[in-house]
Amino acid sequence: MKKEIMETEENEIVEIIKKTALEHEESYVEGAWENFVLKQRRRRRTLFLRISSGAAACLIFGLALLLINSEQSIVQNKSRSIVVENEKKLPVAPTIKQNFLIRNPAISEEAKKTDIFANGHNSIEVITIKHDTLNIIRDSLQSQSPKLITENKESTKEKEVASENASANKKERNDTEYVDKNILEQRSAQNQNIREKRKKVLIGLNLSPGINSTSTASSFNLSGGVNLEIKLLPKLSLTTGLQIEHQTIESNNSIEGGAIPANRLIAELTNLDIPVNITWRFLSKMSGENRESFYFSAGVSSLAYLGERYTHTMYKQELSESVTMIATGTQKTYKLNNVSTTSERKEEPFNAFDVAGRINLMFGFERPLSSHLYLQIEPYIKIPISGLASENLRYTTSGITCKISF
Amino acid sequence: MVKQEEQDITVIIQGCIRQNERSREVLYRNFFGYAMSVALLYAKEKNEAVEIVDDSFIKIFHEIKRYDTSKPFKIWLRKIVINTAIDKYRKELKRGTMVDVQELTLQDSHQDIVGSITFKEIINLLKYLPQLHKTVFCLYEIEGYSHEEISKELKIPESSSRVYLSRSKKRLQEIFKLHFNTSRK
Repeated sequence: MKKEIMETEENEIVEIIKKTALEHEESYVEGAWENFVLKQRRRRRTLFLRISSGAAACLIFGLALLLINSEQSIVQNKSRSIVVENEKKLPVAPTIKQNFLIRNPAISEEAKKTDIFANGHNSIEVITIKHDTLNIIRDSLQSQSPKLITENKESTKEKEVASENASANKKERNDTEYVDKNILEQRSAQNQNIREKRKKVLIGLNLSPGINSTSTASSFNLSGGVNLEIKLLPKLSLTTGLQIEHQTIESNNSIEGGAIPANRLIAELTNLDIPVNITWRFLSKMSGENRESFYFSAGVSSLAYLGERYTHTMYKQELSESVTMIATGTQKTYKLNNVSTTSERKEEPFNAFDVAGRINLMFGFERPLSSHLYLQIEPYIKIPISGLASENLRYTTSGITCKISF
Repeated sequence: MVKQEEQDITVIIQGCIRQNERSREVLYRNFFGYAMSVALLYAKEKNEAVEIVDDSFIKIFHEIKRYDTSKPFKIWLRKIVINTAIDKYRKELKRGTMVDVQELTLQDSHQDIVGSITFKEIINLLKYLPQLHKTVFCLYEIEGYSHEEISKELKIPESSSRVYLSRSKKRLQEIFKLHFNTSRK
């Protein structure tokens, strides 16, 4: 019995709470919306800072990787430091030279006599050899290092004799032909390896002119900055960076059938753009001695606005009436005037942030300028995901980016 | 009149879908009070309730395209506010910042009329329940969730949900007796 009473009491209490809770509605607290807007801005700012710091960390990480790689290559090359200077003149590996000499006993013998490798096989600077072996060596090494052999002025006479004995040397030349082929093959393989071996991290500078398009107008856009490419897989890499962008966006709103636009908005924006893209190199081919590649890149951009200036122009037509007194009475003249009202508004720096505000789509072409310098040409299109900047503008940016990476 | 209101809400929602700032403001101002009354049931204090409401509105503005206009907006809003409150509860549980108030002493207010109990008083009474018990109580009794749904939402066993509910009811009864001097013998 007592339990039943307890249960009834419980249910009554629950019913009272339920009824009151469901029926009640709080009143609006003044300033809640303003606080909400501020809170949203703060959140966007925090998110933007997080992304920026992430991109900065990527840049630092990339730089560190780059430094470590370069230090390692310095260590590896330390033992060959003496060679390096001479390699400019003689880029052929020492083993090749040795093979060459071993396989040509005639030259080997001659070399011994003439102290070709007197200071070690890598330290050849000036070679003075007799006429009968000079042609053989010169022919075989000419393709590798034409400047290698500096003939002694005294040997001009010997040269003439050598040309007379050319036919006698033909046989020896045939012997050296297969050596030449080997050398060339090895050398081309070496060169290809160097070209194919891209750095894991590439840093670059870029400049990209473009066009901002709204549904009603187009205007100019210019951006430039630094970019970083981190290799993830042989054909896949992560591209990020920091770009400063100055853009003008124009938008016209017209009344259907109206002679003039109802209003025009011109927005001048200066903003930072942090792109995070994934790049896929889908085609690499040899063009002459260079390896050219084509790639497709896609990702998102986050934007922080350093300056925003909006110019609103309202257009309207006003009908004016003028009355003139003439002899027969009054004459009314009507005149249609175009009236425009312009207002300008500026926003504070970092007032607006668009985290992942745009989708980036790029198609690119890369060509090495030297062993460590690449030129990249990228036509791109940037599509807004949401309204951009303080005025929730929707515009598409397209253009061409020119990058120099190293 | 009701039809007019529905039309107004549809216009406001269409504006929100177009990301019109003015429409967002109108929606926020119109439904802030309602959202707040739901959030207060689950929050520990008023500031936390405001946070829940703001988080809910961020979700609403983000997901407004998914709103089915054939259903009342308030039901959708209520669901989002409750889910946001549960998310917040889970986060705080992970951080270990939940403070339970099992052994609070009650002040006797010498009120005799239970029927005149206000929303504020109910919120104050619910504060005497541990957070988890309060959430289970509100979800089951006010929102009409089943124990199975509660166990899924709060990631607790169904049996625990039942236990917490009966404990919270018992506790509320005690508090009521003390607070309003109502007892049946």
